[in-house]
Amino acid sequence: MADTDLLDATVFDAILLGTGFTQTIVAAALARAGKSVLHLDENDYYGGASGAFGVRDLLKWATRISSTSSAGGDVNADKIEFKRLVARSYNNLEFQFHRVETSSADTIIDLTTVLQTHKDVSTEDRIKAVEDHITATYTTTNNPSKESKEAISSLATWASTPELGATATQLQSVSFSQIQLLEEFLKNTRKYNFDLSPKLLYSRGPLTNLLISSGIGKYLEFKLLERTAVYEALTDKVEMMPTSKEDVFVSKALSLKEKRLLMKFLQFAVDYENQKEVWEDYKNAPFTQFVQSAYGLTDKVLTAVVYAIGFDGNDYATTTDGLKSVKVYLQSLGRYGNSAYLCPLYGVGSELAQAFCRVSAVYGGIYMLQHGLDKHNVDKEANKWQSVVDHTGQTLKANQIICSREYLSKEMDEYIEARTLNRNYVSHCIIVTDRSAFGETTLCKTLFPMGSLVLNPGETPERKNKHTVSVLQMCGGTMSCPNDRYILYVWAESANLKTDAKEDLTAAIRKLVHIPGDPLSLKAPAPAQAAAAPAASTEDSKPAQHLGDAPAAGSEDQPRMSLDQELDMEQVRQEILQAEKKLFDESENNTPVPSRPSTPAPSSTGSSSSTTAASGTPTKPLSRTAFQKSKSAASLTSSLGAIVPNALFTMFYKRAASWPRVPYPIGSEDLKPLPENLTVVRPMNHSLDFEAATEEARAIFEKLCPGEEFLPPTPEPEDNSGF
Amino acid sequence: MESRHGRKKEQAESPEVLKAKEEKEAVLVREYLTLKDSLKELVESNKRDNDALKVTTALLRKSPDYYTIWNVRRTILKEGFLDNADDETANKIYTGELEFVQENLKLNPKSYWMWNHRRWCLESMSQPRWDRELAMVGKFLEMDARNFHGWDYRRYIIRQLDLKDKEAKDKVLDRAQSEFDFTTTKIHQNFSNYSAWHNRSTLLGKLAEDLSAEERADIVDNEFDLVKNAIYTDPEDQSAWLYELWLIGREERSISILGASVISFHPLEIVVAFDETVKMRNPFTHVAIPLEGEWKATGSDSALGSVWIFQQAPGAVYGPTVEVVIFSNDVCAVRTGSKLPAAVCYELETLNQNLEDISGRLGRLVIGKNLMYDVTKRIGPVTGPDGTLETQVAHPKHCVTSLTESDSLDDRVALLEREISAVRELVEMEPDWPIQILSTLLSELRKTISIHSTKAKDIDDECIELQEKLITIDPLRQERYEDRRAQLVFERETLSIIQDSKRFPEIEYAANQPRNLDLSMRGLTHIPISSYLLHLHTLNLDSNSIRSTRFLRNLLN
Repeated sequence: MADTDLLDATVFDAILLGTGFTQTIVAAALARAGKSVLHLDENDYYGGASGAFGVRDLLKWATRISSTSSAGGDVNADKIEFKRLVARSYNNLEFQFHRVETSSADTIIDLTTVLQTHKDVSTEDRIKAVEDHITATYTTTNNPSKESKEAISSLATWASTPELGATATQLQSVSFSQIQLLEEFLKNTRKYNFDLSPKLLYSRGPLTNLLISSGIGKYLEFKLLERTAVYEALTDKVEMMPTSKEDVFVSKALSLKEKRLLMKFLQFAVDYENQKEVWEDYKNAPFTQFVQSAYGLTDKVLTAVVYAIGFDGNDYATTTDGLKSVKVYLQSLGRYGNSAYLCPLYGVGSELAQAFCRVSAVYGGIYMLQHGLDKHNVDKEANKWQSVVDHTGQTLKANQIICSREYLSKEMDEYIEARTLNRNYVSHCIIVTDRSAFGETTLCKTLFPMGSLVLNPGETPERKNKHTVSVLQMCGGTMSCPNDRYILYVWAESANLKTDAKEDLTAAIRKLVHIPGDPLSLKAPAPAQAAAAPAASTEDSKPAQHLGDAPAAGSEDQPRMSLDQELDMEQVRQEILQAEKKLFDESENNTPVPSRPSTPAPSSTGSSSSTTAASGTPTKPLSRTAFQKSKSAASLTSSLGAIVPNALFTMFYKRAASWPRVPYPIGSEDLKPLPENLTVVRPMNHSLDFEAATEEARAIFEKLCPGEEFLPPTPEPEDNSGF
Repeated sequence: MESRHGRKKEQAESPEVLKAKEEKEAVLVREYLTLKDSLKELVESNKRDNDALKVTTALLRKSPDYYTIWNVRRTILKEGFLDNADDETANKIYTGELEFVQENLKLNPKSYWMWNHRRWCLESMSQPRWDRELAMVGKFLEMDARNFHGWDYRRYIIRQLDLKDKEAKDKVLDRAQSEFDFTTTKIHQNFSNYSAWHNRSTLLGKLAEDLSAEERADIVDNEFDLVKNAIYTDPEDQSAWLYELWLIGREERSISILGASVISFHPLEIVVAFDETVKMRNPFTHVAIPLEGEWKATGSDSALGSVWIFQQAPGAVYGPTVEVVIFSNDVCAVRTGSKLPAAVCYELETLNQNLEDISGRLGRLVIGKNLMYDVTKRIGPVTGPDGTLETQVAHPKHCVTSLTESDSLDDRVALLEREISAVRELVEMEPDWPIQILSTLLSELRKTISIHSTKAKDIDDECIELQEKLITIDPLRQERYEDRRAQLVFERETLSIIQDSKRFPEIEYAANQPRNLDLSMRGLTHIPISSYLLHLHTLNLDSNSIRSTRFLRNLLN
């Protein structure tokens, strides 16, 4: 290992530490501008805080976070303590594989006795004892597979070492269903791509535009987010919002007059920069105030719609912020379809990070993952960073060093820490469920506005959520989980560590899924009912929810797409050609025809896009009464009822995103300022999009290479655009 | 060519780019000219073989809109290949043609000749696969939901399929239903789609055929609901307005005959005045036998006008009374949607030859004995000289749409009032876009009301105001709105000249005609109905902006 870690050259224009999202853009831009770039990461994966993991890696990551002490030791001021600082960024991590609550027999293996009797032995022995105890009971009735052995071993480890983050219930007993569930997760480990900081892209936001203009987007595939829902406290309902012209047109929740008011406001927002007189007076006032008093959107539904469209992570957005964000949203609508958001496949952050790294590497950037770092060398006199020493003892020099906070030396970290007045955290939860929480809508986001949830039901005084809780549901179509599973990412800003992530988020989760053992969460369907109804059935009871205004033709999954599908109708044509060939072949020949060399159309998965149900689907014979029925459907609202999904796996954690309000470097009396050629990248924020990080990367690049073009298009190896 | 709908035009290109483009085009032009020469050769050589076919293929790839080449290709195919081919070979050839068209259609989905060639293939084939065509065109509409070629072709396929299922009415209805649902899907995706709305209107008629009145009313309500949602979502979108207008429908306007009179006895001259410009075919004048003579419109065009005069042929003999019979079929309105609702018969006395007022010809006319028969109550049909029968009396229908017609005036009024109030509500939020439609709706309502009622006056006043507003909103059509306004003002100012006839909504001359009329300073641009002015002695048209004096000829004749 040591040999492969040795570098031929040790002097670079720039060294980047950490493959977090922002650094990867900077690395790509620097390499593209002809700079020599060395990019190192102590992790064995790309993406840093935006990494994406399979099941095994997620559990490994959780174990590592939990088992690393974040307490600072007595070390040299220049020492890099990556592992400690990473561990410090994550708090109150807790995860659980849930027991399946069915009436059918589920054997529970009590662990209290075995844990009690082995209280005082070494951890290894205790784990062994618990493992044997479970195996003895479980494997008499089941053939132990590789995965079941691993599952038992993992559960035993968690039960024996509570500090690893297992939820309390798992410490006393395990059940057969838990073991089987974990087995299944381990078997499918590679089908999962869990995002540590889930996000989306605006179809016409800075990042998407950058991906297109630089040509980097062609490495990526996307799906469109289908809908946005908002939770309404008064009615205790999660409602799909009409967030596009088409949705507004078919919406039943809005009256004609409200439709007009809303559309008028949206028309204004697209062009708000040229109509300053309308909003100038409200510039620094809360956005909601402007919307209500200047545009008369006082109705509850309208307010929710504007919130669904304009919320960008900031609950205290000013009119200026709000309008900007509504405009990006509206510009994004319709670029690739009836949605403003794109969701990259195979895990959001890590795919993007890797795409940028790939470009950097193409232009000569050197990449090394899992590369340990020892310390920074700083010329204290000149206040200049000089080099970084890695685990092999090589001294790596560069003119510029760009890193995330975990790669700072103890001294540098303390400098930033001292400047951070306002703490900021993001509470996260990853949930895997057995069905969609939104019926036929599988890829969607939901917002729980601030103050809409009671965090401590039954207690006084009531505590409400101080920040919006965002939920992003992903489906198998995004290649982040198997097709029969759904991932719900739940997150919210959090101002301190007083409440743990679980407390911040559970109230919202309860409105969407059934959490086994939590009587306040939605009721799970009776087993028979659940078995009878397929995952996406309709018309079933769902007490607390009403997901009205579903799109008329949204029964199928949205097709996948690439970024060049906007103007390039060729894609659609190819699709037509293929579909037609198929049709042709089917009708002409009964013998199977060898498939043609298909163009690499990303959309080849879906035979037809969701929006065209009419032509393709066989039309069932309609009676005259059916006409009446479908006619009422014409005014459109099939209220989607969805069966409440069960939470199978939950993981909570709180990620630190604190950052000094005052931008660094700033003159300071008692602390040595950071070296001037050191750039520290901000931690990932909690907003839904990547726009802030993208803008930061651009700013860093422009500071380092003034006057140079930021990620110009990468030339094609062969230009095949002409005919 | 991909869809250009809703796209901004590309910015002007730099000179270098333009030059490069020109050079590229020059090459293409040369290639094309060579091909064109070979086409000429081809046509002259009368070759019907594979080589000839290949030339057309190459040409059509370059220029699919050159329809002559398609014709040549068909000739080659027919004479060179198909005439002697068995069914199987023929089918293969047609299938090949379909594939060829298909490929090219993808590049140029709006080429008439390609769609046309496709139809030719299918119609010539022994077993055309219409179902496959339907799926194909569905895909094209997915590519561009507003390609009217695609919609047109779709309707064509449906017609073919329906033809096959002539006997199975259920199948046809089911198909119409599924097509109707298809339009719903497309409209939900993007309602700014004239083709989809249009197709919907054609299908609705078919689907509603056998339904009861209540069921129809349900459908109509549902359609109004749908279109209103579109209008409120985007009032600037004309396609939705157009559908709303189609749903409202247009009340047939009744042509009225204001009166008829003898104006000269030797030779006999009879005048008939209509309330709008018409063409008359062969009205006849007789007592017991047809009276020889000729009908001519006054004014510059003797075949077109609102005032018609019968002049007796020299020497023709007539009795003490003359009957003038005008059949509804003999009167053609210039304006669409107008109709003479029933035959009209005047019995004019020719005995009283004491006509005091006949001397001054200008604008003076004495109404003879004005006998307007209610033709429906006549004994037996009126028979024309050529044996034609006026058997049916066309009642004006109060049409809600072509989909539902109602015989009840109340239904019509209720519907219009409901729609007008909805539009008025929208005007409060959107002061500009709905004005045109409001004006149209009010005119429709006006047709249902007696001319002298106060409600009619209010509507007229409002409509005049709306025209003035439209001039400021839409100055490009200023003259059109000015003319409309002039018409409305003229009608308001001439109310004393006419009265409701016994048969509403027709009108006739009032019993007491005013002698003088002052129309000065009314902003008139023209005199819309000159027949109103026949009886006037003086007419003051000072300070107007009348653009044409043609109307004067009617009066001077």
